[in-house]
Amino acid sequence: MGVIDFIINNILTQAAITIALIAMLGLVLQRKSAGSVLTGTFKTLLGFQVLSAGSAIIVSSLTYFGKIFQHAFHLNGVVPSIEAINGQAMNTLGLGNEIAFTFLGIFIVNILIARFSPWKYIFLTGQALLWMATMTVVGGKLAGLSSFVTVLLGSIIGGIFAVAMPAVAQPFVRKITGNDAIALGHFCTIGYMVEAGAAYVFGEHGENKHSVEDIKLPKSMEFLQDTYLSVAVIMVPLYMITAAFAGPKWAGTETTNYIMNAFMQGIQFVVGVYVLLAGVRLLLGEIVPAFRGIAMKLVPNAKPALDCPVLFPYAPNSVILGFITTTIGTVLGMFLMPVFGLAVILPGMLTNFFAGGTAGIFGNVVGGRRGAIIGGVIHGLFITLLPALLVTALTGLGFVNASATDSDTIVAALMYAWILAPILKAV
Amino acid sequence: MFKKFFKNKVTTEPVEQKLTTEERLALQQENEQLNQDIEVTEGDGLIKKYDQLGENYTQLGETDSAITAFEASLKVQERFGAAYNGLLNLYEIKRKEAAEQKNNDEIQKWVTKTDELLNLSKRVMRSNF
Repeated sequence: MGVIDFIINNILTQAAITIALIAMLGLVLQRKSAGSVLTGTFKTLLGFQVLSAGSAIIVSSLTYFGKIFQHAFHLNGVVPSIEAINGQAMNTLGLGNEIAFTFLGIFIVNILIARFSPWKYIFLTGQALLWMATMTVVGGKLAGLSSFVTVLLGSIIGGIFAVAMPAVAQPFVRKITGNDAIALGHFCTIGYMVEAGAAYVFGEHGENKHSVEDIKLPKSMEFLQDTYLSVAVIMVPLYMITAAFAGPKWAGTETTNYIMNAFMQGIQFVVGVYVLLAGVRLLLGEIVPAFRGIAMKLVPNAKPALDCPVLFPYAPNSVILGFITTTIGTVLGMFLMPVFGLAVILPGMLTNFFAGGTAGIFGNVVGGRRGAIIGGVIHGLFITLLPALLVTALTGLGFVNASATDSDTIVAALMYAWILAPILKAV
Repeated sequence: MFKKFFKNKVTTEPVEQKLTTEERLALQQENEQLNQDIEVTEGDGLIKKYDQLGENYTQLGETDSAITAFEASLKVQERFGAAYNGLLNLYEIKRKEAAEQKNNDEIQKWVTKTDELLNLSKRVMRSNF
């Protein structure tokens, strides 16, 4: 009995162990050699710990930023970063175990739906599934559910999203790629639908429709060629400007000049994202291939839902225009949200590039140039509004100065907060 | 809402063209010529010849040869176009075949190749800025 108690209380409560065991299960089910199972399991364990280390760096930098922003502008300045939310949820908030089980559950529900329904989509973007697992668990906690119900409900809701979102996007994807071979697996699809809707209403139609692909765009944003450089280009100046407004008392240390300190803290944020994403890659490197192998065998006629860069080659100009217009929308949103009493959501360059770029493709295919431009700005406003709506709830749970990105994951969490929680309260 | 937009339906599956014997023969002859030309061609011209070869093999239903040709095209230069679009569909065909045979190693091979294609897409996209 003592041994079982020890295992339950000391080993299975460690999220790193749980997720490593899930990877082990996947590898064993694939009948991998003992050596491969061992190394795969260990890599996953290591991945979780690297992710935790990245999260700690981000939290320390965000705590500093939150403090100086408050003193500089007397407002709540929030960084939209699903990576930071995942890191904090997995570690600081101790939700790692629930997230790990929900991640596994989403895989299973996705396979079940694809196997037994006409919707054959298998969601292959592992990172996005991890974000969805995170946000459904956060939603469960917001609604005050027990861990078991959180995992069960999160698996079902996440699994439905994993099939429904590619299905919703598919008619557009067919138009973009010209065939039905692959689907889009990126949890920003509700944002893409908002852009498509706006492009339909405000865009060009029929003979007046001109594709963005027919214009020649200048090459002038080399900094975007590196993921981390593009984060740094925004975050470091933001930290420094905020520090300049906050003053040396709040932004400096006894030994370092306050602007220099802000510069280094901004760099620390980039380092945190770098380490955290390296951890995520290590963490998912074994689990995702294992489970997608299983999924493909169980659903041989599956339609793979792939990450958003799959669409870039079909409309590269639209990606650039989508990024620019979404960024304009997020900057407008940053100033607009406090007017409505919401938190200041800073523009997130990673999400602006990937979600904004992909949204641009949707805007262009529906409403041509005008559709892509107006739709892009509206998309930028929409993806600023969503994290702003979530801030109060996240702060209440103990998250530090961050909000989620990826519209579908936020909508999933808001469903818990706005629909499920009031129903549970009323019952 | 999008009724008008979806009015003109697109082809839902990659078109499998039935070729006549003469057409097959003509394509095979063209491929022989292309294979000879490839030995002495460089740069942009070489990419075009590989792409043409890949498209011809795809029409002939010779998936493996088409993949080799398109991959050779991307090896000369990573870019968007026929090779990327062709490979995305061909990898999916191979992945489906592997799944039907329940061959895990092959499934992983083709899904990993698709992943590499997505990474290529990111690289080329960024180099466009």
